[in-house]
Amino acid sequence: MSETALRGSSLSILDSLSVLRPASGALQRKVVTELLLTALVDAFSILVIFLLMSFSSTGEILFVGRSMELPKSNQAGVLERYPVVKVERGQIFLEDQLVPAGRLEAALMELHRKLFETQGGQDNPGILTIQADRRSKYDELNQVVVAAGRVGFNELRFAVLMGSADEETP
Amino acid sequence: MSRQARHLDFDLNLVPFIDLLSTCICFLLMTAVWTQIGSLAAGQSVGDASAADAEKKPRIWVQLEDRGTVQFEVQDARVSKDLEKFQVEARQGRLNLVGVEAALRRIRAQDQNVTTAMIQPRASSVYEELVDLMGRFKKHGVGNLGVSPL
Repeated sequence: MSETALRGSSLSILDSLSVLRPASGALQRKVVTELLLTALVDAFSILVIFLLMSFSSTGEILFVGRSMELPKSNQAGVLERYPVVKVERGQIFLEDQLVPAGRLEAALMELHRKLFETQGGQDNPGILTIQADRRSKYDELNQVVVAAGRVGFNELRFAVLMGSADEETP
Repeated sequence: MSRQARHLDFDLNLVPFIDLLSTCICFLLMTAVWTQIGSLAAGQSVGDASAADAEKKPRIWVQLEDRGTVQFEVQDARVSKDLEKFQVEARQGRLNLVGVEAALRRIRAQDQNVTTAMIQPRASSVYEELVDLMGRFKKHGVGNLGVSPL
């Protein structure tokens, strides 16, 4: 339909796009197609509800790189925000800062002192989160366990993926 | 009457509503966290004051041997003689978690007060196996776990 023809009629350009006018005489009648928006709105609403329910407002406490696979456990508790020590490819990171070999205890001591100061002189709960690859040997984690114990982090939280690692048992 | 009814009938403009929903979906999809990370709690089994205080509490000492064998030693608990010290043999070179669970079931059936376990891994112990083992203990009510350094 040309624009001049449209001007004469009551249809706007947009309206004409939803009206099909076949050229042949037999089919020369208006076929108005309407998009059913109700179904679309329904689907969108369900999606929004699902995403809102699975939305985590606490943010990501741990950053897990591609090279790291956390072990799975279905007995895990909620991950809370405590100082994180990451063991990755033989290197140790405290709060994402690389700690040189043999300096972990001093770094943890410094962190312990900072926590004491920032919490208004109150002793921190002495909890440390350990993040390591599932294939790591305990030898790599041992230095973290030893240093944490010496400094005063008496409780360790091993970061795991919430999953069903217990499937094979009857 | 029919005229009035026609007058009340109106079209709800769904376009802004769809816009809003689309924006919500985009935001939620971008900020969604798909991997659920949790934590398994464990104490320090040596040098911890709380462990020293609870010296007489029933507890299990678990030693992870090379090749997946697990040594159990149950202390200060009312269990039969055969459960005081025993080992669970490995299965295909790995931890026999089914055997560990069976042993834990037997221990807990005889003494419900056994809720503490100290795990002593080897340098060669795989972290995943340690976590698996801790998970089995927690599953069977032994939730007060400690991990000892080498």
